[in-house]
Amino acid sequence: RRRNDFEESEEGLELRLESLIIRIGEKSTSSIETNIEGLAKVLTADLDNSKTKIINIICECVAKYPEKTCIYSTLIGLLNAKNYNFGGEIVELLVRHFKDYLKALDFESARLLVRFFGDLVNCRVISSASLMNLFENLVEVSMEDNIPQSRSDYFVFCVLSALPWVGKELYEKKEQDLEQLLNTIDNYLNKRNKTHHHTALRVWYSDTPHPQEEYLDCFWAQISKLRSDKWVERHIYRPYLAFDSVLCEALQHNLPQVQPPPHEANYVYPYPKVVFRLFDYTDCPEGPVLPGAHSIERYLIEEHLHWIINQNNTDRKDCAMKLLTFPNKHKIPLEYMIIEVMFSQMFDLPKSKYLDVFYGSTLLELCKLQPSSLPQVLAQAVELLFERLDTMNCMCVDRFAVWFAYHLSNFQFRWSWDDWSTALTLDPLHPKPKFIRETLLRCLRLSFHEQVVKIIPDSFHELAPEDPIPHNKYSLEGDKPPESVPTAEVAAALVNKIKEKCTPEEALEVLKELTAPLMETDDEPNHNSLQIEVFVTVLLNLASKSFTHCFSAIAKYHSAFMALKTSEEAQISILSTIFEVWRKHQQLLVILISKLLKSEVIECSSVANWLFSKENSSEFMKSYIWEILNQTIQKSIRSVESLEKELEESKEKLRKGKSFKSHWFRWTIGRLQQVFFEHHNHVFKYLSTFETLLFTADLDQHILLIFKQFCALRN
Amino acid sequence: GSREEQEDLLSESTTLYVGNLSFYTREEQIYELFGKCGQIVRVIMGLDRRSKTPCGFCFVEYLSREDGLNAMRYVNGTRLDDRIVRTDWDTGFIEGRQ
Repeated sequence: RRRNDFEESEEGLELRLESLIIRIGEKSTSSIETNIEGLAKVLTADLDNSKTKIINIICECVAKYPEKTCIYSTLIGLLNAKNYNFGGEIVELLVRHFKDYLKALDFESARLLVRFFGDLVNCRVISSASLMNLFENLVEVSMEDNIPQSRSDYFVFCVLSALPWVGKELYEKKEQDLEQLLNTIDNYLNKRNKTHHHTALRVWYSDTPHPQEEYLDCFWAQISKLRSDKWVERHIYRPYLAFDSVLCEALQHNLPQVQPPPHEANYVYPYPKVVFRLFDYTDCPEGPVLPGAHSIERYLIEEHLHWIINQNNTDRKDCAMKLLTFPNKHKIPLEYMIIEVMFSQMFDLPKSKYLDVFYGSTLLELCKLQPSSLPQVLAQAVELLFERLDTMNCMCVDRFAVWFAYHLSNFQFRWSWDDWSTALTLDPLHPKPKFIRETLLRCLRLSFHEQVVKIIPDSFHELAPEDPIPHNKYSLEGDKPPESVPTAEVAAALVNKIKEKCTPEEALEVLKELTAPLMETDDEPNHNSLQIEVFVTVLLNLASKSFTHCFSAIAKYHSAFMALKTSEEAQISILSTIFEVWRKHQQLLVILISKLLKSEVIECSSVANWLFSKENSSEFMKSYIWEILNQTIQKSIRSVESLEKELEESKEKLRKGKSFKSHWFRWTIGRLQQVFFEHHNHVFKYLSTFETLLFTADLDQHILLIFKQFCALRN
Repeated sequence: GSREEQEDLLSESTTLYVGNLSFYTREEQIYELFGKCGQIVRVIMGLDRRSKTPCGFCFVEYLSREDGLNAMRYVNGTRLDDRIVRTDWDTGFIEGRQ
């Protein structure tokens, strides 16, 4: 006997079975069919002892490894053909899993099970009549009253997405029923409301060169094309076809009646999507043809690539390797499809699923593993993205710049910038020059100023960032005589004191000489802006050597900050002075403000008011301002409300101006949308407050629309 | 401490040791690259004992373990200042280790 003691123990045996079931379909010297047949034999032999365990593992694998749907359905088909009761128990347990997933709002797993039920019809485990019955029950949700559209969308999508697997079988066995089902779906899709979310979720506002289709519309077009092709597709590998003679003898089970659980107010269904399209077949003239936008293969391959990314998101090397060893890769322009799927996730709205740096580092691995072809496709994608910046959503412009700078930093910042010199002739707020400027700012953060200046052609210098050095208005080196700055003497005294390592109290003592300037109204001023200016300017300049110096100076003089911070105006005065000193160092401003928020020198609402103040209007269009805002919102999600008001007032002023659809308007509206999207889960909690207090019917329609589009995500 | 204590500390640490940096790499760059993985509490540059200048390593302390894990996943083995950055868990910075 070959089995050793460990494997003979029950636990050892079950572990071995588990590993066999999980690993079936992985790389192997023998064919998939042989492996499935072998596994079915092993499982049948051990059925008596480990039945429950085996069934549970299979059920879990079905939802976890969707790329192996047909392998598991074949396996169950073979087991069922040998042991009808066992097949029945598996079906029963799968149905229970399905109900549990729906109850737990795990909609993706539930969808994968619906597809699996379809494939079990192909394997003669489930009767086609009972599957049709399940499909009808699911689609019936679309007739329910007073439910969000996302609910009926989901159940319709569930059924549609099983059709590439089981459509042909149903067409042959249940043509009438299938026709009727598709008619019901068609009626539903025609009356759907999609203007709002479709507009909000598009990466590009334009439909040229590629329409950015609403996901269900697009999927319906793909399914309709499949239908007209008599349900024949060329992507799914179906091992059960080899076992036709065994399977056709098997007895089938009926799925029990399953009703989707009724809607409840706290249920959040998957958000609608817009299909990201970057390439068509003309972009990849050599090699295999890219499946068209409405071919089911495009959908199936993309979905498969998404699975690979989802399963390997914690390991960029495995992820890149598994993407590149995609099955049947010689029949498709794989590099193009990988890049398109990677960017579709990176630009996904409202938020991308994983960290930016996951996509960035995985793209680096892809380039490393396929150096002869992938970098070229990636460069081509960058060109297309740049060409199409004119109509790109502004959150996506940001993500594009952040990623591109990161990517360049791993390739010695080499890029043929001259190709983009047309951008130099455009309005500085036009997305193209703005993208280049933001990219170079991000390059600066990852390197240093001289280097950024060196990597670009001379003609691009107007887009280069400034050297991030501090400004000291009390410095004697300037050309203005010291007496023109009345506070210069106090500043000089403070410099000496701090150099002598004085205490916060001693520092405040030096500042006492400066009396608060009177306010325009004759009210008693509630803060001393002169003291704040001198103190903050001197301290930050003395500690300008590094971030660490700066942070320890703030920590050491924390109590002085707290003493000077007597009101919101005082906080704004602190922020303005910091800005005056470090205006050229955006990254430091972002981090510094976050530190001051944490140490309670500054409150969130002051940051918001300062960001939207008139003095800041020159910075309003720059990304880092919104970086600060979004980090502040994270700190206190409630401050959102007051920000919206500020923004609304800015719009009010804008509306009195002439052509309002300027670049300024587009960026600002985009930023409002960004606030919603970045914090969507939190904003939804305050929806009714927003509706009654802020986004009311009398609000400007352009602003109200952004809010309505956002609400449509859960409608 | 003993080896097990050391391993326990490592498995809960939120601090990374970052090696193979260029001597010219500044804190700013560390914040930018490692900030992509999560919220940084502090960065401590490794300094030469005598010259007090950077000498090719630093510590990055994150707010949470998950942030540090992300850095191990996505930053370890990629480039900063054209050098391949190496990251490893550290038991946490103790004053004087610079």
